[in-house]
Amino acid sequence: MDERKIQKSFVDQITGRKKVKEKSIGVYKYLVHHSFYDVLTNTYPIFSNLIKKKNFIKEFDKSIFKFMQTSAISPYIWQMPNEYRKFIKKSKFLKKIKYLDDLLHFEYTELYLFMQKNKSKKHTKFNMTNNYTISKSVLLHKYQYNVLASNFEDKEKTFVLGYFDFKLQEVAYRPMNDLLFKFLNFIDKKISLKSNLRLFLKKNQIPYKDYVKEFEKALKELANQKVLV
Amino acid sequence: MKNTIKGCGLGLRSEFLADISFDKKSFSPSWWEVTPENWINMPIWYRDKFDEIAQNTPMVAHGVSLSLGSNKKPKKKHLKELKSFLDTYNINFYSEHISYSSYDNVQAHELLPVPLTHNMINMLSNNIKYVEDFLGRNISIENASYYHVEPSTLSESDFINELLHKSGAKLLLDINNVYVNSLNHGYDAKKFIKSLDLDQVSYIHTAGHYFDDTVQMTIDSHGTKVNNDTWELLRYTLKEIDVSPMIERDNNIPKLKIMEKEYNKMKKIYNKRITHG
Repeated sequence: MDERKIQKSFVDQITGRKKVKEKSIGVYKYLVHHSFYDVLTNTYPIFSNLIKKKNFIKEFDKSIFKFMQTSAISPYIWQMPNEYRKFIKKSKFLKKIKYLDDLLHFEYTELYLFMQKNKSKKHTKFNMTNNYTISKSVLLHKYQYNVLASNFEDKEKTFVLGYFDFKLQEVAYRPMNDLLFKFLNFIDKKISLKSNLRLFLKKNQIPYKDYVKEFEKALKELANQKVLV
Repeated sequence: MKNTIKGCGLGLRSEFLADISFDKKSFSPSWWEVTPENWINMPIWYRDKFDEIAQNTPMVAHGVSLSLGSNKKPKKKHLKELKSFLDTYNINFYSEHISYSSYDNVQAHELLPVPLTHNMINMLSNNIKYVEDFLGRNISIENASYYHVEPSTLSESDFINELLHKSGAKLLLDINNVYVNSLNHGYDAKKFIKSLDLDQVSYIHTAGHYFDDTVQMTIDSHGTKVNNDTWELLRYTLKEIDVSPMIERDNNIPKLKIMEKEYNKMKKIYNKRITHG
Protein backbone atom coordinates (compact mmCIF):
# COMPACT_ATOMS: atom_id res chain seq x y z
CA MET A 1 0.00 0.00 0.00
CA ASP A 2 1.34 3.43 -0.91
CA GLU A 3 0.19 5.67 1.92
CA ARG A 4 1.51 8.84 0.34
CA LYS A 5 -0.39 8.11 -2.87
CA ILE A 6 -3.57 7.64 -0.82
CA GLN A 7 -3.02 10.93 1.00
CA LYS A 8 -2.22 12.78 -2.24
CA SER A 9 -5.37 11.47 -3.87
CA PHE A 10 -7.43 12.49 -0.81
CA VAL A 11 -6.00 16.01 -0.78
CA ASP A 12 -6.55 16.33 -4.55
CA GLN A 13 -10.20 15.46 -4.05
CA ILE A 14 -10.92 17.78 -1.13
CA THR A 15 -9.21 20.73 -2.82
CA GLY A 16 -11.09 20.20 -6.09
CA ARG A 17 -8.11 19.11 -8.17
CA LYS A 18 -9.83 15.76 -8.73
CA LYS A 19 -13.46 14.69 -8.68
CA VAL A 20 -14.64 13.40 -5.28
CA LYS A 21 -15.01 9.62 -5.44
CA GLU A 22 -16.73 8.97 -2.10
CA LYS A 23 -19.39 10.84 -0.17
CA SER A 24 -17.30 10.75 3.01
CA ILE A 25 -14.41 12.49 1.21
CA GLY A 26 -16.95 15.09 0.10
CA VAL A 27 -17.53 15.88 3.79
CA TYR A 28 -13.91 17.05 4.03
CA LYS A 29 -14.24 19.06 0.81
CA TYR A 30 -17.24 20.77 2.37
CA LEU A 31 -15.51 21.36 5.75
CA VAL A 32 -12.25 22.67 4.29
CA HIS A 33 -14.01 24.99 1.86
CA HIS A 34 -16.33 26.18 4.63
CA SER A 35 -13.40 27.02 6.86
CA PHE A 36 -11.55 28.96 4.14
CA TYR A 37 -14.77 30.72 3.12
CA ASP A 38 -15.47 31.76 6.72
CA VAL A 39 -11.99 33.12 7.37
CA LEU A 40 -11.90 35.03 4.08
CA THR A 41 -15.38 36.55 4.38
CA ASN A 42 -14.75 37.56 8.00
CA THR A 43 -11.48 39.26 7.08
CA TYR A 44 -12.90 40.86 3.94
CA PRO A 45 -16.46 41.98 4.83
CA ILE A 46 -16.77 44.62 2.06
CA PHE A 47 -15.43 42.18 -0.52
CA SER A 48 -17.77 39.52 0.83
CA ASN A 49 -20.85 41.76 0.42
CA LEU A 50 -19.69 42.75 -3.03
CA ILE A 51 -19.38 39.21 -4.36
CA LYS A 52 -22.83 38.39 -3.02
CA LYS A 53 -24.34 41.53 -4.50
CA LYS A 54 -22.70 41.19 -7.89
CA ASN A 55 -23.25 37.45 -8.07
CA PHE A 56 -19.57 36.47 -8.12
CA ILE A 57 -20.07 33.67 -5.59
CA LYS A 58 -19.33 30.84 -8.05
CA GLU A 59 -16.14 32.53 -9.20
CA PHE A 60 -15.17 33.19 -5.59
CA ASP A 61 -15.70 29.52 -4.75
CA LYS A 62 -13.59 28.45 -7.72
CA SER A 63 -10.86 30.83 -6.64
CA ILE A 64 -10.89 29.36 -3.11
CA PHE A 65 -10.38 25.84 -4.44
CA LYS A 66 -7.58 26.91 -6.76
CA PHE A 67 -5.99 28.81 -3.87
CA MET A 68 -6.27 25.78 -1.58
CA GLN A 69 -4.45 23.66 -4.13
CA THR A 70 -1.33 25.78 -4.26
CA SER A 71 -1.01 28.88 -2.15
CA ALA A 72 -2.17 28.38 1.46
CA ILE A 73 1.25 27.84 3.02
CA SER A 74 1.37 29.46 6.46
CA PRO A 75 0.56 27.30 9.49
CA TYR A 76 -1.07 30.38 11.01
CA ILE A 77 -4.62 30.67 9.79
CA TRP A 78 -4.73 34.43 10.40
CA GLN A 79 -2.12 34.83 7.66
CA MET A 80 -4.25 32.96 5.13
CA PRO A 81 -6.31 35.96 3.92
CA ASN A 82 -3.12 37.75 2.93
CA GLU A 83 -1.95 34.67 1.05
CA TYR A 84 -5.32 34.69 -0.74
CA ARG A 85 -4.93 38.40 -1.58
CA LYS A 86 -1.53 37.75 -3.16
CA PHE A 87 -2.88 34.71 -5.00
CA ILE A 88 -5.84 36.67 -6.42
CA LYS A 89 -3.55 39.44 -7.64
CA LYS A 90 -1.66 36.96 -9.84
CA SER A 91 -4.66 34.83 -10.82
CA LYS A 92 -7.31 35.17 -13.52
CA PHE A 93 -10.13 35.20 -10.98
CA LEU A 94 -12.52 38.09 -10.30
CA LYS A 95 -10.81 40.37 -12.80
CA LYS A 96 -14.12 42.16 -13.49
CA ILE A 97 -13.66 43.84 -10.14
CA LYS A 98 -11.10 46.42 -11.23
CA TYR A 99 -10.40 47.70 -7.74
CA LEU A 100 -10.08 44.25 -6.15
CA ASP A 101 -6.41 44.61 -5.24
CA ASP A 102 -7.03 47.93 -3.49
CA LEU A 103 -10.07 46.59 -1.67
CA LEU A 104 -8.40 43.42 -0.37
CA HIS A 105 -5.25 45.29 0.60
CA PHE A 106 -7.24 47.90 2.50
CA GLU A 107 -9.40 45.35 4.29
CA TYR A 108 -6.40 43.20 5.21
CA THR A 109 -4.57 46.15 6.81
CA GLU A 110 -6.98 46.05 9.76
CA LEU A 111 -5.96 42.50 10.64
CA TYR A 112 -2.32 43.17 9.84
CA LEU A 113 -2.17 46.22 12.12
CA PHE A 114 -4.14 44.47 14.83
CA MET A 115 -1.66 41.60 14.91
CA GLN A 116 1.43 43.79 15.27
CA LYS A 117 3.65 42.91 18.20
CA ASN A 118 5.27 46.25 18.81
CA LYS A 119 5.06 47.97 22.13
CA SER A 120 3.83 51.49 22.41
CA LYS A 121 6.85 53.60 23.26
CA LYS A 122 6.72 56.07 26.10
CA HIS A 123 5.69 59.51 25.00
CA THR A 124 8.52 62.01 24.72
CA LYS A 125 8.14 65.67 23.88
CA PHE A 126 8.22 66.24 20.14
CA ASN A 127 11.33 67.91 18.87
CA MET A 128 12.40 68.38 15.25
CA THR A 129 16.03 67.98 16.22
CA ASN A 130 15.43 64.42 17.45
CA ASN A 131 15.74 61.33 15.28
CA TYR A 132 12.51 59.54 14.42
CA THR A 133 11.42 56.57 12.42
CA ILE A 134 8.08 55.20 11.28
CA SER A 135 6.61 52.80 13.82
CA LYS A 136 6.39 49.17 12.78
CA SER A 137 2.74 49.28 13.79
CA VAL A 138 2.06 51.57 10.85
CA LEU A 139 1.16 50.94 7.26
CA LEU A 140 1.61 53.52 4.52
CA HIS A 141 0.02 52.70 1.19
CA LYS A 142 -0.89 54.42 -2.05
CA TYR A 143 -4.25 53.26 -3.39
CA GLN A 144 -5.68 53.85 -6.85
CA TYR A 145 -9.16 54.35 -5.42
CA ASN A 146 -10.46 56.35 -2.49
CA VAL A 147 -10.74 53.39 -0.14
CA LEU A 148 -11.41 55.61 2.87
CA ALA A 149 -14.58 56.95 1.26
CA SER A 150 -15.47 53.45 -0.02
CA ASN A 151 -15.53 54.96 -3.48
CA PHE A 152 -14.48 52.19 -5.79
CA GLU A 153 -16.22 53.46 -8.93
CA ASP A 154 -13.84 56.23 -9.99
CA LYS A 155 -10.09 56.13 -9.80
CA GLU A 156 -8.65 58.60 -7.31
CA LYS A 157 -5.14 58.26 -5.99
CA THR A 158 -5.37 58.08 -2.20
CA PHE A 159 -2.49 58.04 0.25
CA VAL A 160 -3.44 56.27 3.44
CA LEU A 161 -1.81 55.96 6.81
CA GLY A 162 -3.06 53.02 8.87
CA TYR A 163 -1.95 52.70 12.48
CA PHE A 164 -2.91 51.17 15.74
CA ASP A 165 -4.34 53.75 18.10
CA PHE A 166 -2.96 52.63 21.46
CA LYS A 167 -5.34 54.89 23.38
CA LEU A 168 -8.50 53.59 21.74
CA GLN A 169 -6.98 50.13 21.20
CA GLU A 170 -8.25 49.99 17.65
CA VAL A 171 -6.98 50.33 14.10
CA ALA A 172 -7.34 53.84 12.69
CA TYR A 173 -6.83 55.36 9.24
CA ARG A 174 -6.18 58.83 7.96
CA PRO A 175 -5.66 60.25 4.51
CA MET A 176 -2.37 61.96 3.72
CA ASN A 177 -1.32 64.39 1.09
CA ASP A 178 1.15 63.28 -1.53
CA LEU A 179 4.02 65.29 -0.07
CA LEU A 180 3.69 64.12 3.53
CA PHE A 181 3.31 60.54 2.32
CA LYS A 182 6.53 60.82 0.32
CA PHE A 183 8.32 62.41 3.24
CA LEU A 184 7.33 59.65 5.67
CA ASN A 185 8.76 57.13 3.25
CA PHE A 186 11.89 59.28 2.91
CA ILE A 187 12.75 59.52 6.63
CA ASP A 188 16.17 58.22 7.54
CA LYS A 189 16.30 57.39 11.27
CA LYS A 190 20.03 58.09 11.42
CA ILE A 191 19.53 61.83 11.09
CA SER A 192 17.24 64.31 12.79
CA LEU A 193 13.74 65.01 11.54
CA LYS A 194 14.81 68.56 10.76
CA SER A 195 17.73 67.38 8.61
CA ASN A 196 15.46 64.87 6.91
CA LEU A 197 13.02 67.63 6.08
CA ARG A 198 15.73 69.93 4.71
CA LEU A 199 17.08 67.17 2.47
CA PHE A 200 13.65 66.14 1.31
CA LEU A 201 12.48 69.64 0.44
CA LYS A 202 15.74 70.39 -1.32
CA LYS A 203 15.51 67.20 -3.33
CA ASN A 204 11.99 68.13 -4.40
CA GLN A 205 12.97 71.76 -5.05
CA ILE A 206 10.52 73.07 -2.48
CA PRO A 207 11.46 76.19 -0.50
CA TYR A 208 12.07 75.13 3.14
CA LYS A 209 10.67 78.30 4.70
CA ASP A 210 7.34 77.99 2.90
CA TYR A 211 6.60 74.49 4.14
CA VAL A 212 8.46 73.97 7.40
CA LYS A 213 5.64 75.10 9.72
CA GLU A 214 3.03 73.05 7.97
CA PHE A 215 5.27 69.99 8.12
CA GLU A 216 6.17 70.52 11.76
CA LYS A 217 2.51 70.68 12.72
CA ALA A 218 1.68 67.47 10.87
CA LEU A 219 4.77 65.64 12.16
CA LYS A 220 4.05 66.65 15.74
CA GLU A 221 0.58 65.18 15.42
CA LEU A 222 2.03 61.97 14.00
CA ALA A 223 4.50 61.75 16.86
CA ASN A 224 1.63 62.18 19.35
CA GLN A 225 -0.17 59.32 17.65
CA LYS A 226 3.04 57.26 17.91
CA VAL A 227 3.23 56.93 14.15
CA LEU A 228 6.64 58.57 14.39
CA VAL A 229 8.71 56.99 17.14
CA MET B 1 6.67 12.10 30.65
CA LYS B 2 5.58 12.37 34.24
CA ASN B 3 1.88 13.06 34.50
CA THR B 4 1.80 16.23 36.52
CA ILE B 5 -1.39 17.76 35.19
CA LYS B 6 -3.77 18.00 38.11
CA GLY B 7 -7.35 19.21 38.37
CA CYS B 8 -9.47 20.36 35.45
CA GLY B 9 -8.51 22.51 32.49
CA LEU B 10 -10.12 24.91 30.08
CA GLY B 11 -9.11 26.15 26.63
CA LEU B 12 -7.93 29.76 26.81
CA ARG B 13 -9.49 32.02 24.15
CA SER B 14 -8.75 35.66 23.49
CA GLU B 15 -12.45 36.39 24.12
CA PHE B 16 -11.92 35.47 27.79
CA LEU B 17 -8.94 37.75 28.45
CA ALA B 18 -10.87 40.77 29.65
CA ASP B 19 -12.88 38.69 32.12
CA ILE B 20 -9.94 36.93 33.73
CA SER B 21 -8.72 38.29 37.05
CA PHE B 22 -6.62 36.91 39.85
CA ASP B 23 -8.30 37.75 43.13
CA LYS B 24 -9.38 34.79 45.23
CA LYS B 25 -13.08 35.13 44.37
CA SER B 26 -12.51 35.09 40.60
CA PHE B 27 -12.88 31.97 38.54
CA SER B 28 -9.77 30.21 37.38
CA PRO B 29 -9.42 26.66 36.08
CA SER B 30 -6.65 24.47 37.56
CA TRP B 31 -4.84 24.96 34.26
CA TRP B 32 -5.34 26.54 30.87
CA GLU B 33 -4.78 24.82 27.56
CA VAL B 34 -3.47 27.18 24.88
CA THR B 35 -3.20 26.66 21.14
CA PRO B 36 0.25 28.07 20.27
CA GLU B 37 -0.84 28.99 16.72
CA ASN B 38 -3.30 31.45 18.28
CA TRP B 39 -0.79 33.07 20.63
CA ILE B 40 2.63 32.98 18.95
CA ASN B 41 1.73 36.09 16.94
CA MET B 42 -0.43 37.65 19.59
CA PRO B 43 -0.94 41.40 19.37
CA ILE B 44 0.83 43.40 22.00
CA TRP B 45 -2.38 44.40 23.80
CA TYR B 46 -3.04 40.70 24.53
CA ARG B 47 0.49 40.00 25.69
CA ASP B 48 0.44 41.66 29.12
CA LYS B 49 -2.71 39.80 30.13
CA PHE B 50 -1.45 36.53 28.67
CA ASP B 51 1.82 36.91 30.60
CA GLU B 52 -0.12 37.57 33.79
CA ILE B 53 -2.27 34.48 33.24
CA ALA B 54 0.82 32.36 32.57
CA GLN B 55 2.37 33.58 35.82
CA ASN B 56 -0.72 32.74 37.84
CA THR B 57 -2.05 29.51 36.32
CA PRO B 58 -0.26 26.48 34.83
CA MET B 59 -0.53 26.09 31.06
CA VAL B 60 -0.37 23.17 28.65
CA ALA B 61 -0.13 23.65 24.87
CA HIS B 62 -2.11 21.93 22.15
CA GLY B 63 -1.02 22.49 18.55
CA VAL B 64 -3.12 22.23 15.42
CA SER B 65 -0.83 22.66 12.45
CA LEU B 66 2.33 20.55 12.83
CA SER B 67 0.74 17.98 10.54
CA LEU B 68 2.55 14.96 11.97
CA GLY B 69 1.12 12.61 9.35
CA SER B 70 2.29 14.74 6.46
CA ASN B 71 4.76 13.74 3.75
CA LYS B 72 6.99 16.68 4.78
CA LYS B 73 8.59 17.25 8.15
CA PRO B 74 7.29 20.27 10.08
CA LYS B 75 9.10 23.42 8.99
CA LYS B 76 12.02 24.48 11.17
CA LYS B 77 10.82 28.08 11.27
CA HIS B 78 7.51 27.02 12.77
CA LEU B 79 9.22 24.66 15.22
CA LYS B 80 11.59 27.42 16.33
CA GLU B 81 8.66 29.77 16.98
CA LEU B 82 6.88 26.99 18.82
CA LYS B 83 9.89 26.12 21.00
CA SER B 84 10.47 29.75 21.83
CA PHE B 85 6.81 30.11 22.85
CA LEU B 86 6.89 26.96 25.03
CA ASP B 87 10.18 28.00 26.65
CA THR B 88 9.04 31.57 27.28
CA TYR B 89 5.94 30.42 29.14
CA ASN B 90 7.61 27.40 30.75
CA ILE B 91 5.11 25.01 29.18
CA ASN B 92 6.19 21.38 29.45
CA PHE B 93 3.14 19.63 28.07
CA TYR B 94 2.68 19.86 24.33
CA SER B 95 0.30 17.83 22.20
CA GLU B 96 -0.67 17.43 18.56
CA HIS B 97 -2.96 15.18 16.50
CA ILE B 98 -2.82 11.77 14.87
CA SER B 99 -3.60 13.26 11.49
CA TYR B 100 -2.19 15.66 8.91
CA SER B 101 -3.33 19.12 7.92
CA SER B 102 -0.92 19.91 5.09
CA TYR B 103 0.42 17.97 2.14
CA ASP B 104 3.44 19.11 0.12
CA ASN B 105 3.44 22.07 2.54
CA VAL B 106 0.04 23.30 1.36
CA GLN B 107 -2.34 23.81 4.28
CA ALA B 108 -5.86 22.45 4.48
CA HIS B 109 -6.34 23.98 7.96
CA GLU B 110 -8.33 20.84 8.79
CA LEU B 111 -7.32 17.58 10.49
CA LEU B 112 -7.32 14.90 7.79
CA PRO B 113 -7.55 11.12 8.33
CA VAL B 114 -4.45 8.96 7.84
CA PRO B 115 -4.43 5.41 6.46
CA LEU B 116 -4.23 3.05 9.46
CA THR B 117 -1.20 0.98 8.48
CA HIS B 118 2.17 -0.07 9.91
CA ASN B 119 3.92 2.11 7.38
CA MET B 120 1.91 5.14 8.54
CA ILE B 121 2.89 4.35 12.14
CA ASN B 122 6.54 4.49 11.09
CA MET B 123 6.07 7.79 9.26
CA LEU B 124 4.19 9.36 12.18
CA SER B 125 6.75 8.04 14.67
CA ASN B 126 9.61 9.58 12.68
CA ASN B 127 7.89 12.96 12.65
CA ILE B 128 7.03 12.70 16.35
CA LYS B 129 10.67 11.91 17.18
CA TYR B 130 11.82 14.81 15.01
CA VAL B 131 9.46 17.22 16.81
CA GLU B 132 10.38 15.89 20.25
CA ASP B 133 14.09 16.29 19.56
CA PHE B 134 13.55 19.83 18.30
CA LEU B 135 11.31 20.92 21.16
CA GLY B 136 13.23 19.03 23.85
CA ARG B 137 9.97 17.66 25.18
CA ASN B 138 8.01 14.43 25.03
CA ILE B 139 4.71 15.07 23.36
CA SER B 140 1.17 13.69 23.52
CA ILE B 141 -0.84 12.81 20.44
CA GLU B 142 -4.59 13.08 20.17
CA ASN B 143 -6.97 10.56 18.64
CA ALA B 144 -8.72 12.59 15.94
CA SER B 145 -12.30 12.64 14.77
CA TYR B 146 -12.72 11.41 11.19
CA TYR B 147 -15.52 11.32 8.67
CA HIS B 148 -13.84 9.10 6.12
CA VAL B 149 -11.89 5.87 6.57
CA GLU B 150 -8.83 5.60 4.37
CA PRO B 151 -7.65 2.16 3.13
CA SER B 152 -6.25 0.50 6.28
CA THR B 153 -4.76 -2.72 7.56
CA LEU B 154 -5.25 -2.05 11.29
CA SER B 155 -8.21 -1.22 13.49
CA GLU B 156 -8.16 2.30 14.93
CA SER B 157 -7.37 1.15 18.47
CA ASP B 158 -4.59 -1.21 17.32
CA PHE B 159 -3.18 1.62 15.24
CA ILE B 160 -3.21 4.06 18.17
CA ASN B 161 -1.76 1.54 20.64
CA GLU B 162 1.03 0.54 18.30
CA LEU B 163 1.78 4.16 17.47
CA LEU B 164 2.05 5.00 21.18
CA HIS B 165 4.35 2.05 21.72
CA LYS B 166 6.53 2.77 18.69
CA SER B 167 6.80 6.53 19.17
CA GLY B 168 6.88 6.66 22.97
CA ALA B 169 4.35 9.49 22.84
CA LYS B 170 1.53 9.76 25.36
CA LEU B 171 -2.13 9.76 24.37
CA LEU B 172 -4.27 12.85 24.64
CA LEU B 173 -7.58 11.05 24.77
CA ASP B 174 -10.34 13.11 23.17
CA ILE B 175 -13.55 11.48 24.33
CA ASN B 176 -15.69 13.79 22.20
CA ASN B 177 -13.80 12.53 19.15
CA VAL B 178 -14.42 8.96 20.29
CA TYR B 179 -18.10 9.75 20.76
CA VAL B 180 -18.44 11.51 17.38
CA ASN B 181 -16.60 8.66 15.63
CA SER B 182 -18.79 6.09 17.35
CA LEU B 183 -21.89 7.80 15.98
CA ASN B 184 -20.52 8.28 12.47
CA HIS B 185 -18.95 4.85 12.14
CA GLY B 186 -21.29 2.80 14.30
CA TYR B 187 -19.21 1.44 17.13
CA ASP B 188 -19.42 1.30 20.90
CA ALA B 189 -17.57 4.29 22.39
CA LYS B 190 -16.96 2.65 25.77
CA LYS B 191 -15.60 -0.54 24.23
CA PHE B 192 -13.31 1.55 22.07
CA ILE B 193 -11.95 3.44 25.08
CA LYS B 194 -11.43 0.18 26.94
CA SER B 195 -9.42 -1.18 23.98
CA LEU B 196 -6.89 1.67 24.20
CA ASP B 197 -3.69 1.52 26.23
CA LEU B 198 -5.11 3.73 28.96
CA ASP B 199 -1.88 3.73 30.98
CA GLN B 200 -0.47 6.03 28.32
CA VAL B 201 -3.15 8.74 28.61
CA SER B 202 -1.77 12.13 29.66
CA TYR B 203 -5.08 13.98 29.87
CA ILE B 204 -8.56 14.11 28.41
CA HIS B 205 -10.29 16.44 25.98
CA THR B 206 -13.96 16.96 25.84
CA ALA B 207 -15.98 19.29 23.64
CA GLY B 208 -19.28 19.84 21.86
CA HIS B 209 -20.49 18.58 18.51
CA TYR B 210 -23.57 18.88 16.27
CA PHE B 211 -25.36 16.97 13.56
CA ASP B 212 -24.85 18.60 10.17
CA ASP B 213 -27.90 18.28 7.91
CA THR B 214 -25.90 19.05 4.75
CA VAL B 215 -23.39 16.22 5.14
CA GLN B 216 -25.63 14.02 7.32
CA MET B 217 -22.90 13.36 9.86
CA THR B 218 -22.07 14.38 13.41
CA ILE B 219 -19.38 17.05 13.29
CA ASP B 220 -16.78 17.64 15.97
CA SER B 221 -17.29 21.41 15.98
CA HIS B 222 -16.06 22.55 19.41
CA GLY B 223 -18.79 25.13 18.97
CA THR B 224 -21.55 23.98 21.33
CA LYS B 225 -21.76 22.92 24.96
CA VAL B 226 -20.75 19.38 25.90
CA ASN B 227 -23.80 17.11 25.68
CA ASN B 228 -25.01 14.56 28.23
CA ASP B 229 -23.75 11.51 26.33
CA THR B 230 -20.23 12.95 26.27
CA TRP B 231 -20.40 13.76 29.99
CA GLU B 232 -21.46 10.16 30.56
CA LEU B 233 -18.47 8.96 28.54
CA LEU B 234 -16.22 11.17 30.68
CA ARG B 235 -17.69 9.61 33.85
CA TYR B 236 -17.03 6.17 32.41
CA THR B 237 -13.47 7.03 31.37
CA LEU B 238 -12.61 8.54 34.75
CA LYS B 239 -13.62 5.27 36.37
CA GLU B 240 -10.98 3.61 34.23
CA ILE B 241 -8.15 6.12 34.59
CA ASP B 242 -7.20 8.93 36.92
CA VAL B 243 -6.25 11.77 34.60
CA SER B 244 -7.28 15.41 34.19
CA PRO B 245 -10.02 16.45 31.79
CA MET B 246 -10.50 19.76 30.05
CA ILE B 247 -13.05 21.46 27.78
CA GLU B 248 -12.15 22.72 24.32
CA ARG B 249 -14.30 25.51 22.92
CA ASP B 250 -13.05 26.99 19.64
CA ASN B 251 -16.20 28.29 17.94
CA ASN B 252 -19.25 30.28 19.02
CA ILE B 253 -17.20 31.28 22.05
CA PRO B 254 -19.51 32.25 24.92
CA LYS B 255 -18.72 34.49 27.86
CA LEU B 256 -16.31 33.08 30.43
CA LYS B 257 -19.21 32.96 32.92
CA ILE B 258 -20.96 30.40 30.71
CA MET B 259 -17.79 28.33 30.37
CA GLU B 260 -17.37 28.49 34.14
CA LYS B 261 -20.71 26.68 34.54
CA GLU B 262 -19.60 23.96 32.13
CA TYR B 263 -16.23 23.75 33.84
CA ASN B 264 -17.93 23.27 37.22
CA LYS B 265 -20.03 20.46 35.78
CA MET B 266 -16.83 18.76 34.59
CA LYS B 267 -15.16 19.39 37.96
CA LYS B 268 -18.05 17.73 39.77
CA ILE B 269 -17.63 14.64 37.59
CA TYR B 270 -13.86 14.72 38.07
CA ASN B 271 -14.14 15.00 41.85
CA LYS B 272 -16.46 12.00 41.99
CA ARG B 273 -13.99 9.81 40.12
CA ILE B 274 -12.49 6.73 41.73
CA THR B 275 -8.86 7.49 42.39
CA HIS B 276 -6.62 4.68 41.27
CA GLY B 277 -3.64 3.80 43.42
